[in-house]
Amino acid sequence: MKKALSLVLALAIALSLVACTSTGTTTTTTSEDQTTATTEQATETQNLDPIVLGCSGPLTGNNAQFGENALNGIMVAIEEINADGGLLGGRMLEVRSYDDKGTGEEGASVAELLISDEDVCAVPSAAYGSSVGLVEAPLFQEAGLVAISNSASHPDFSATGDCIYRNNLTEAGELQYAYQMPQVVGAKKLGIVSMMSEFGESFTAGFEALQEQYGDKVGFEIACVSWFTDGTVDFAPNIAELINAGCDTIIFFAEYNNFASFAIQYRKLDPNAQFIGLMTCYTPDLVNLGGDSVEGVYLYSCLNPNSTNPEVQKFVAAYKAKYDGAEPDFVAANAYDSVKIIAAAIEQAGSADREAIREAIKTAHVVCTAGDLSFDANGDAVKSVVMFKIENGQFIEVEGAFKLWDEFVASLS
Amino acid sequence: MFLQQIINGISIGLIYALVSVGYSLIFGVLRMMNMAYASILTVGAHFCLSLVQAKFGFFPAIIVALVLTGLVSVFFDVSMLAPLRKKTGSDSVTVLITAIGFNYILLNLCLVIWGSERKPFQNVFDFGSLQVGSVIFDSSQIVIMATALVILAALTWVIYGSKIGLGMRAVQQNTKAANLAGVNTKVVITFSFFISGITACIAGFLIASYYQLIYPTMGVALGGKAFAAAVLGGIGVLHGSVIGGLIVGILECVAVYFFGGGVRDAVAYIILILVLLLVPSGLFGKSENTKV
Repeated sequence: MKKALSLVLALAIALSLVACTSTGTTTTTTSEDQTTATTEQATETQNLDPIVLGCSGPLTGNNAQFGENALNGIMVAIEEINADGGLLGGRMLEVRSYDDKGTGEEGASVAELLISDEDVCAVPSAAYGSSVGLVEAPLFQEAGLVAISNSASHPDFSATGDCIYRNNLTEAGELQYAYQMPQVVGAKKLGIVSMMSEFGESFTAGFEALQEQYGDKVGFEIACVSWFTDGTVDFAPNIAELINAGCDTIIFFAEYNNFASFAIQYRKLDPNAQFIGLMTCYTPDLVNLGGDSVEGVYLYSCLNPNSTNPEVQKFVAAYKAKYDGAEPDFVAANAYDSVKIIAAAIEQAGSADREAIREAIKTAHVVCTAGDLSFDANGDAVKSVVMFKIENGQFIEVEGAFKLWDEFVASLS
Repeated sequence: MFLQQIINGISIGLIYALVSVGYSLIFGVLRMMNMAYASILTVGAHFCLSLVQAKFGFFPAIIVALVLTGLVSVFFDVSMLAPLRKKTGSDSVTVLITAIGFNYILLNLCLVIWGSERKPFQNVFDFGSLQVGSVIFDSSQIVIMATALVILAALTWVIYGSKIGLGMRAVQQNTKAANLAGVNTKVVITFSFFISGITACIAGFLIASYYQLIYPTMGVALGGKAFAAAVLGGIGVLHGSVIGGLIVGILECVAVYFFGGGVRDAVAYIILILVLLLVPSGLFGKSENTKV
């Protein structure tokens, strides 16, 4: 009996493994493969010491997709630079990437790992979200290691010091676009759905402050603000609140995965409401998860893959070629640009020392997917965004939707 | 609006009930808190995902997934718990920590095999929604309600109406005496774990189908609240688990109505602590005097 049972069990486990391997590859192995691939490439072509860049991002957990995209963007940039002969007369670039799981605790230990690794000269991709970024920033600053986040938007992040940079819209910058969205789509009663997180709370407060200032001039009112906590799968109570408040348009302050769940559940009860997502919703995975429920969603991103800018074309083509036709998102593009600007700083300084990069990056600039990229005195990059609407599962550009903030304000009165 | 929140609460509550029945089932037989149950549920949902994708027919795929999940649950018992039961000196704490350990092992296996990202899953019960007055019922909510009740009825029949159920109750009261009286305790325990695995897989499948999502941490928050619901209703009592699940689900939605979404997760545990202060053995639990 026992033998028979163990046989059956062994068979079952073997079967299940066979069934699974076809669908599942883990993010961690992919990233390891990539790292070794470039190392090999580097040693084949040159015997000079490589220049090592560090990367901290969520490779597992809820925001794993963003960590993976950032790492992919970095790999595309590194391959491009290495193919052109590397930096400083032939030194190849490579990356050391660690999984911070999107939590502050892991983020702190990953930051310590990167700091204590003397080979690492700069970090082109630190922390996906502001919660982790605010933990890592003081550590990098104290160690004098330049670190760039490609997605954190909290104002305090880049304010930490002269080693900490943000290659993304600031929160205030993003709010100026987010606030235009309901006006552009003709909302009357706006419902805000926000996650209780560093980002969500501060973004909601910022949005409400703008509404206080311009509320009597815009065409919409905030009818309801509905909160949820990270890890929520059932949005029924939130949806009941929103429908009861009579919202015709919903703006969602959290990532694509939560938004997809929300949209699926909302559409069952109200097929007509308009949805607005933020930049973190601009990813083809939103359509994979949300399907028909995210049809017609409005959102925006600082990467427009259909742009005629040759730098964008080059990046998107290289990215798709390397990752089986996958579409890059803004995090991947920003991470790509961050490697480019660090490379420019290294060339400008003529050295890959931490201290030299720290000085050089203040004045470095580079032509990349974001146009002519440089950092201002706060350590923030200047970015502009484009609005999209999802039609038949595709992100279609809504041309001329956004105005510059001053023009938008002027157009109201 | 308030009525709609109550209906939402009933539907979420029945999802908790589906899961908490699984905790109660094993506790009812072995007096053991099966903390691995949430991960077994997650593994079950992932089995459904992979097997449905293998395209050898939807229902055969689900049935194979049910059996496989049952076997994972049996494997847990045969390979870890049964040897522990034989060893002298192992007590409920040893068993509890083994279950918590197996929970993490399964969770990590899921991460390694299927990846951590959220994966879409089809909603097989989407027949539109039904509006009665101001209240909207979704067809998958109705299917979940019906399934929860059917599972509860089936399990109640197994435990109180069938011969093996008699054995299960005998094992719960006194394993040694049951053995002496001719009950094959090993078979009874293995059967209980198999059934609990199947229940886990059904719950995992329904939940995945309802939310149209599958991911490795889907059982974490759910498992915690369902366990609270089981304890609230008196763990080991099946109908207690269902009532417990309903109470947690409804109060959660009502809490959102009055206080907003931020307090939602705390509500289950606040109720749990309050009830336990008043009725330490749970609403339907029997207080027992253990002879030393």
